[in-house]
Amino acid sequence: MIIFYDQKSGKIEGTIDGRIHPKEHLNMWVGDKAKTERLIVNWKPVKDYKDEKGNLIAQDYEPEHEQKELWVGLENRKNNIYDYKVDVTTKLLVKK
Amino acid sequence: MTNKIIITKDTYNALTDTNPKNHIFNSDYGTLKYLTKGTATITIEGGKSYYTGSTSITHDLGYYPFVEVFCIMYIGTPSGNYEPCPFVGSGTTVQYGSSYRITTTTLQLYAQFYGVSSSTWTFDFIYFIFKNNLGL
Repeated sequence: MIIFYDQKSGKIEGTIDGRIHPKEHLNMWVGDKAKTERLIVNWKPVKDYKDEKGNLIAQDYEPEHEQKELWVGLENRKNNIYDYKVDVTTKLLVKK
Repeated sequence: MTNKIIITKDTYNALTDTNPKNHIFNSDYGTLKYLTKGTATITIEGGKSYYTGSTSITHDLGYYPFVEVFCIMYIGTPSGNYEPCPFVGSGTTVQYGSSYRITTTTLQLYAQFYGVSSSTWTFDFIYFIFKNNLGL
């Protein structure tokens, strides 16, 4: 997920959903580019599953961010992104 | 004879059925190519005499893509359901709605209410952008 937030207040203006963001997503922007910053959180593989021949058949992924459980909740909509804002200093999500 | 790929629904024969309503996929017809999904929000502070707001999503595709937009409007905590955009609704003394405009570089979202209100109105959007070029 990519979060776009107000540079001064940390208010979240919008998002681009997804776990891995290709160049097309990175070219996008939500809100006024002069007044917003973005926080990009990709997901990374953390566990491999292989068959008896050693071929990779599946992987577990998790958000590459210290608030990973919160980000998982954002993806499955247990958490509402607009209940949060970005601490512009630490880049962490904080409850409004 | 041209080659094609047809996947039919249960009980239909892909080799003989020619009705696309019975097909899950048919290579004779175009399909939507997904680019991305996301959210955006517009807050209008009626107490400050504001009654419109907008925000934009820059996609920079260089053409008019096919998009779908949905919106939920609420005062206070989120409630209700997302509606296909554009939509309009009304209360006793106000009318409210949201809309959008697509260009070759942006998806512009708009929200507004008409009437007198001192409340803070929130419009949360979900947007889908597809790679399909509308060729406008």
